[in-house]
Amino acid sequence: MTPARTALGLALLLTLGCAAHADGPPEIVLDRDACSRCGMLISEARHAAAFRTADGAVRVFDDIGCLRGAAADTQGLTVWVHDGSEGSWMNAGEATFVVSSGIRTPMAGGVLAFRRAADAERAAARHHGRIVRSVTELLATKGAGS
Amino acid sequence: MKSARAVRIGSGLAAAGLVLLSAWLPLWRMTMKAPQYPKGLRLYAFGGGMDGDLRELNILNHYIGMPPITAPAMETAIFPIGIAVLAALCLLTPLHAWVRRAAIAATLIVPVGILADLQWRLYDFGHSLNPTAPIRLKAFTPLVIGPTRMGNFVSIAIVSWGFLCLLAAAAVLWLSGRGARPPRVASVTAVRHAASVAAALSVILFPPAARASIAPGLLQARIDAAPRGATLFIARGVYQGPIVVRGPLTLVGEPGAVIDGGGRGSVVRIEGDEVVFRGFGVRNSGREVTEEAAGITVTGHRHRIEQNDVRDVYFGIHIGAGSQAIVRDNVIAPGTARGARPGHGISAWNLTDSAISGNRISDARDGIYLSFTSHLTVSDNVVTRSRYGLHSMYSQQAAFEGNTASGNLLGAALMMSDRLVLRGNRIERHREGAAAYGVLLKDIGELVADGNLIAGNRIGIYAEGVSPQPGREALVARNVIAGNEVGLALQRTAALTLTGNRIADNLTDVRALGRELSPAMQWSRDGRGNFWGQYRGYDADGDGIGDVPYALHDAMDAVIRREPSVQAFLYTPAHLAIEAAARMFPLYRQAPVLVDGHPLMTAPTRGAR
Repeated sequence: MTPARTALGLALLLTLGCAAHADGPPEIVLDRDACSRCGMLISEARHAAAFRTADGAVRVFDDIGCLRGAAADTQGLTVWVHDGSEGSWMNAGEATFVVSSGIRTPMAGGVLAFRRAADAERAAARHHGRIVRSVTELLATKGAGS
Repeated sequence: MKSARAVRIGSGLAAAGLVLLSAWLPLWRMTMKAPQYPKGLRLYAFGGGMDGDLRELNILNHYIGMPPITAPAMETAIFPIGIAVLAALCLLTPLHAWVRRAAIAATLIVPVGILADLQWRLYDFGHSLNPTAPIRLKAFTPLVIGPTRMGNFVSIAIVSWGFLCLLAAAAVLWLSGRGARPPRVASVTAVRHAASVAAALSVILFPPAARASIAPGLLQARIDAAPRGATLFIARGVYQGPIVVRGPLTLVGEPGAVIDGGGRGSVVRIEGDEVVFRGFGVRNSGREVTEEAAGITVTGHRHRIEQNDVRDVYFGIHIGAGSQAIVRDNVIAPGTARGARPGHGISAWNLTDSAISGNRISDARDGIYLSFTSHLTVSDNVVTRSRYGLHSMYSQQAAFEGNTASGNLLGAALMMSDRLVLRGNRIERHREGAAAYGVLLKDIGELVADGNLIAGNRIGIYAEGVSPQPGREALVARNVIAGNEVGLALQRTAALTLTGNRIADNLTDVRALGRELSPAMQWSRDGRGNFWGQYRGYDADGDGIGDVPYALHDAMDAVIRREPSVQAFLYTPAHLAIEAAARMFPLYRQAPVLVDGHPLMTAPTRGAR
């Protein structure tokens, strides 16, 4: 195998490696993948977010604030965020959000998402934050850092 | 007469009883109160020695170099004899008035003598402080009666029941008449009993001198005990954290002094104002990202954090909600212990008028991260093996000077910030990952990037959203931008002014990331452009400025844009051949990427005007 073909093969593998799962959230490699809005490397899984548009394009973000800023048209959007307690992917439809400038996030978006409403209540109390019950409501308003 | 005699005998017995009783009771006591000991620490003086919270006291004393509190050998040996003699005298008082007077004098002299002796001992204690002790205090004299302040301890000393018994014995004898009766044998047993009890007390209550054990809470107790503004020297050893230091206070770790946070929360928390925290090893913070645990968490004003070695933590130093801090000459390596991803080396937020200098940071997320700061100077730091070397977000008037960022994922990221200075830094070898930039400029206003060496990165300077207000500029001057794959990669939203830079030996010197560069890009200023490795002009008038403008054509970039798979040939002889061909035979020529109307003929020295 020539070096050029090896390189091509590697490039192909890398491309496939970065591809999203058919339906689920995309795979993000921390410190390697960059936010598609602000360009910063995604380094904190807890704050990483993503969406897929109706035409299948997937974008990843380092901060829910960046996703908020990038989601111009929310029609047909599938949104994923990480649970602020456990740091695992979840569909944003199941999330309760807490918004506060006291929450330090990579781009100062100041939003955390929680699977359990009780966790959200706790975080809201701790950061003097506002609770947002749905992703639709969250995306309808643009916050700090967006 | 019979009744008077009975009174004399009775009073003699009573006085002897009181004297013997005093052997069991404390003669004197001292109570020391401090915020960390709300119930106070107590010290009792018995005839047989000292008792009370001796362990704590001796450990505290150890740090100020005070000898351990032990039973004074001479006094404890004399005391049982003295008590026996006193008791005998008391019993003999009925014999003769002179015996009674002698007994009264003795029962008064003994307690007063004991007090005088105690005072002398206390003076001696306060004046035999070991000069090599961790905490150096001036010599002092605790009062034998009354309050004494030492650090944030207040000691209150007072005579106790044993002492009062002796006085009462004297009073009883004084009040009684005269009479005579030989002493009773029974009292001898009592005396022997008293002596043996005293001996037992001295053995049980005086353990060997306190070991220099470093139990949890001990360092904290010493810190809390220190007077405002004091200087504490902490000896080598591993101290269990977490620790809270409230200023003003100077805490100096001697070589080998390490504070271990036990994996919970921040290891050291610095509060109040004017804390100097110098020379410690700081280890093992919590790893909970939600807690923002750090090796050293700092809030307040005018703190100095110097010469510490911080490792195995989430954030190294997390400093904010304050001003006029100095963070210098620390070695910080948060690391990836226990699988957790590291936080920032130094994270400054909501901080003003502060200096971060001379720190060596590795294995962090961002080496130095500024968020919502103003008037910060970040100088002479070295950041390696981290995500971003230097990172400014939402900050005003930050100056980065003389730092080295090498081998991180990105050298210096200046984002969402304004009025920045980037001067004399070395930013090298950022070649890995999606954003392998030497310098990232994004959404910033005024900037002076001056005299930096930006070399060996995948992209030397990446810029977008650089749009200074009218009358201000983003000036990139006198830098060496060399040996990068791409020297400058610029979005159309970047409006920089470049002058006096050496832009050479990059595979691509300048690449337009959009269709073209911003029309507001300035490639020269006041008739001085840049030195271009690729410039082939001449200088007939000898003014150092090329007589023909330098126009940069990126033939290879044009080819790649047309046919991306050609990237596989980058850096090969084929690539160089295309570049050479394009120069000689302008076949591919399109509009130039840029034109520098005043190219320099010779490479300027970095940073020179």
